[in-house]
Amino acid sequence: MISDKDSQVVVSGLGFISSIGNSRQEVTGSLLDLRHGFEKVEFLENPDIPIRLAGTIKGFQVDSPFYQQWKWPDGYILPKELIRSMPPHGVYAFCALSQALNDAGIVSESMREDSRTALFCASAGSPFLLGHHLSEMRRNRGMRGSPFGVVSTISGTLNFNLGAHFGIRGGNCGFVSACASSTHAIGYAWDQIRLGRVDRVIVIGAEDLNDESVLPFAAMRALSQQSDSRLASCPFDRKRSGFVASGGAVALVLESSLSAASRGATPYGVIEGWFQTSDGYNPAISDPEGRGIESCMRSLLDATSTSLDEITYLNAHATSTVQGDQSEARAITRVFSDAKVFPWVSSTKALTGHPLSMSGAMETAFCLLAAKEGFVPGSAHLMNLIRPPKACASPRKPSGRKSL
Amino acid sequence: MTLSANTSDADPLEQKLAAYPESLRDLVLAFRKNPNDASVDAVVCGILRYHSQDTFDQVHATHGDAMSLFEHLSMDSLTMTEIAFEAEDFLNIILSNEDMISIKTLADLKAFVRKAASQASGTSAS
Repeated sequence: MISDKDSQVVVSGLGFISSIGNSRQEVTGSLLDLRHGFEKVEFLENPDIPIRLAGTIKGFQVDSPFYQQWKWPDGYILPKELIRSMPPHGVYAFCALSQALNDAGIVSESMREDSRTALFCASAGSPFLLGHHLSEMRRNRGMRGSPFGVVSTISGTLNFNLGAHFGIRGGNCGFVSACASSTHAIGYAWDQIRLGRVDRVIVIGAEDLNDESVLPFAAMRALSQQSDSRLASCPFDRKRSGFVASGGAVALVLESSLSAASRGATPYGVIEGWFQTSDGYNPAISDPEGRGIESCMRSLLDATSTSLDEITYLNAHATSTVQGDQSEARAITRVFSDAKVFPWVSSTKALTGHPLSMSGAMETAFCLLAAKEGFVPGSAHLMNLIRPPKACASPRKPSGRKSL
Repeated sequence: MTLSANTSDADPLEQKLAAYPESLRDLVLAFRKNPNDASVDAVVCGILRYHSQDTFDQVHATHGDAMSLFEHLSMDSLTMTEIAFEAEDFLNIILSNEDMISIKTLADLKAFVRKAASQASGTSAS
């Protein structure tokens, strides 16, 4: 839960490379205007594949397996010594991180001089680039391969590359828990700072967006086949039919309030706590009753001594899948059934699509932006609400309730 | 729009070469037309020029073929491996791990690549 109340762990910097914008300003505008980031796409040059849309990243060209051909927006300086061992989403991550450090007023060189800054990353690695390197290795019958084949592709790739480039010495850890990965990164960052082990943790969630990162989810029948953006990603709507895939990167600077104050930084907000439970139900499907989600929310309210009526807004994970959204809706409804006023609930994936492991980082950052700018993220594409939650239909100014 | 480059049908080496500067591609094409020690050396220098951010010519003018790849061009071991694999791909040769480890100077690199090129063609490249 994010609160403006004074606490020990604050967020002082944000960076975005997302389907709805590549800067704080662009993202804020898209959230306020309910502007989605979807484009029509064709996978593997096969028009018969029934997945028509993706939440694309604009201004980048990272579709080649050869880093020499990659392009990114002006203003970011990526040395060859860095990008040669990075995956496509490493470029996104570098740009988002650069924004977040600048936003927090942190000079990147200063991180080399301390051992109190850690880096926590979430990424599924790059099946695209891994496939290329393995193909090369087979072609050469194992006699040669890229020396960067490992560090540019596996799920620790962001940690290896960004940790070395920025001289991170306070800890460097990766999180691999599927769509919860970057949420876990934020949670464990909060723990590390509260325990006094570090002063600051940079959290990054990032993912490729290409045939290899998307199509395996089509095989699971988890993607919407709609070509109309309004129907393709419509969390909590009765016509939802699966998610729209996305990628990109989001970076957050979490630090102790003392650390932020030492630079005169103005935090976006305070993270008061976190909690985790698990379903123990199915490797790919959530418990239909949402019992794990309910247990987690109740435990978090207890852990942070927060009453139901202090909650103004709830950003749902809801990806627009039939079962996942229903699970969340049931859990949210049960937890808030005793609230005097039901909180606003929305899923911003209606606009962004689902960027897999970076979801938690992205949506935490959205909530912080919304709190700072004074609006509630709306529910785009919501026409026929499924039974439980009272989702808001458009951005609106928060009422007098004290926290967001 | 498409999300990944279509690389399934094209020759892998041509795809790789296309990612490099035109000046280096021209040197590789010249080698393929006329493989000899001079064209081998030109490709080696072209690869080093690409990796040294164009400081190669300045260093070469000062130190000649005795230039240290590590001290004068600031190459690290990963870059050296990358250079060796590029030379293998572009010149269709194989460098042994023992050769790669013992390469310290431009003269070493040229000598090992020339030897490998002559072995690959069955005759002296020159």
